[in-house]
Amino acid sequence: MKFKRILILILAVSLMSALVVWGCAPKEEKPPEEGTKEPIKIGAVIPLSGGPFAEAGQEQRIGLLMAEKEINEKGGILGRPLKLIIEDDQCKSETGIAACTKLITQDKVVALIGGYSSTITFAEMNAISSYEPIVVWMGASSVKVEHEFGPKKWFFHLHPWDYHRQSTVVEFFKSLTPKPKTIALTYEDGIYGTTSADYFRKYAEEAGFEIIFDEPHKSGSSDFTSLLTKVKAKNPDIFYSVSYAGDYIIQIKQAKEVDFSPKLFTIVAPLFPGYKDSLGKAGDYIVGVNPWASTLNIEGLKEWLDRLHEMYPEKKDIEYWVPLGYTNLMVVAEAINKAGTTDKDKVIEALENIDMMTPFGRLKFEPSDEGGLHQAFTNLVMVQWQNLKPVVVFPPEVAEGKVIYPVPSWKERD
Amino acid sequence: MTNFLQTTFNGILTSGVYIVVTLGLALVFGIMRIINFAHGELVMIGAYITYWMFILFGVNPYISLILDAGIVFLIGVLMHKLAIEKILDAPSIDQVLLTFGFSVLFQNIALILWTANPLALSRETVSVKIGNIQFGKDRLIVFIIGVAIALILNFILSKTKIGKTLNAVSQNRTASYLVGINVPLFYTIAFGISAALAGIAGGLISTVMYTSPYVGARLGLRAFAILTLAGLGNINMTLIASLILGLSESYISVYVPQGPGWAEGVSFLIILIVLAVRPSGLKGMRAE
Repeated sequence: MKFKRILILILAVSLMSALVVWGCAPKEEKPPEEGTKEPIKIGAVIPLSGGPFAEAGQEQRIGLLMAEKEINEKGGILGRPLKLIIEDDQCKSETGIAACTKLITQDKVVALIGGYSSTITFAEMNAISSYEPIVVWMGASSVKVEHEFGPKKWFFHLHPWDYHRQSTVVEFFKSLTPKPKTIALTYEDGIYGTTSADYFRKYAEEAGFEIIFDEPHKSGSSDFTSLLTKVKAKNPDIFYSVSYAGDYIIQIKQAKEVDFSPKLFTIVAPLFPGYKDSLGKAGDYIVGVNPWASTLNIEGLKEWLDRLHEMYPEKKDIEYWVPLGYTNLMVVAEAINKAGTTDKDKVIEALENIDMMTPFGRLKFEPSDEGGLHQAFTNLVMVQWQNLKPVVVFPPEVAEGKVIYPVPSWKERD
Repeated sequence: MTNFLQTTFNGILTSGVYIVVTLGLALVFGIMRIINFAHGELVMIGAYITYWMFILFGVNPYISLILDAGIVFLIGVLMHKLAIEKILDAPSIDQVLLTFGFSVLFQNIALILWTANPLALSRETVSVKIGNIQFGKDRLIVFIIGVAIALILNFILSKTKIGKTLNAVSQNRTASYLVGINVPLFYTIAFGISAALAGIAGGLISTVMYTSPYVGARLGLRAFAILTLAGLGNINMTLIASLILGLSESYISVYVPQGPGWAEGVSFLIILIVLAVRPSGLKGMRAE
């Protein structure tokens, strides 16, 4: 009896999905003719609900909307209004695939933008690669995505790859005086943590550092005291953790609890919203690698921040996803303008030749180390929390202040 | 040796978090034979209440526990009256789907209201040192409160009239009706208390972890492992099972190479072994 009910349920679900697919099937629609006032459509797929990535997705959305507003206020693209269609991937591959397919086949967007998670990106690009749409992607840092889709002529990528991040971290460690000798590395055991660790290990060993602790951990755990106890016994110069915001909060607090004081505590992306509120003074001296900081000396950044604050006066902490989202839409609009048409090959050619200033820095697509044809950003910075403020401390050409190293131990801080 | 003692202590304190999260789940299964997949989300709601009381009014998180218990009790009663009550006799797949639905609903409401940002109470982290062992004060308090609640709950269930009535209802619903027990009322109370326990667990967790829409779901897995190990629905054994899980995770983290990555796997391993070797759990009684 029970079995029958389940069978009926499965049948119903498959019928419904069949209907959805049928509904999504391409309808015969004529492309708008040149010279019309038909809006130019660009589709973005970002995570807005359903998982831990949604926070970043909301930041991306702010940047995208700001760009859309500015473009339309200046008369749109090619004299036609811009219509940005934002779809939510709900932090799920299958939803992301459906959204991408819908944007390409039904909405007939000129280009697909957005993106966050590497895993979801991989699934989405796999599903839509037969359409060969123009993709200008702001998310995904896993090199697995680069290996598979980087060599495609239609795939353009903004976010630095994970090896850019790890080489910046190692370069920074090399710049410290007195030079640290030993490093303890821990990483979350998903695709993000393990790939990061692989590259970090490679670069650190090449640079002559000794990795005396090298173990994964589970993100979302309530207890890192055991891990920290184990690391403490090894007494490393540097502790480097590759994980997520919530995990860092616990790791830093529990490091204080078990009195683990390395000469430097390093993390990835230390400017997440709520860092200061969650950690207070305990968050001081932590160093992290980040693709962007609002204090960087980038041409036009100050004015851009002013415009952002005008649009969103209540927004205090700006994660790098806001300027990256803004840049993502701006670069596509600029390319269409340069191409003078929405014709795919011409827009791709325009993207390949683009050279523009954005709030994220100078943007040019160039080949990257592991096979990518069109990579925009490769530079990252190291930020240290000093007196409850993030200060860019590396590389020297953009640094706002000096790194404090070795940092005072927990006992010395009280 | 210091390391061993410290590791042991870490494990014991970690089990405190597991105890508080699992108690409510064990209670509601013990009495109503329902596995509430939304239990973790009730924990999450409690954590948010504590967080906002602290941020907005500066209320001490341990005082907020009363409020957590009260508000989440009401949410539990509402859940029960609106939905759970209607599917008590339905096949278990319906119960799973319904409580799972609640879990998704609560997660998404939290996401809309408070975003996915992890939020932590910005309180001074106080480290306590005894001999060579060091630990956070809040973690010790969570452990003590967890054990205290378990003992009180056990006392209520075994010694008081309301506890005996609940036991009677859980053993034989029809007979309870026949002797004049208001079964629906007692079910509502049981579900409400279980929710209140989740609320308290949430408040406690916000002091040692952080608050996010997914914090409950992540702890849920541990809770189910403990429930299986303890023998579904058994309160005393829940204490012991929590200790076993906390300690084994701690020892594996420290003494097994690549341990911290494996530690979470312990929960799954425990579920597998218990189901294969002793499906009745530690106590040796199948709660059915």
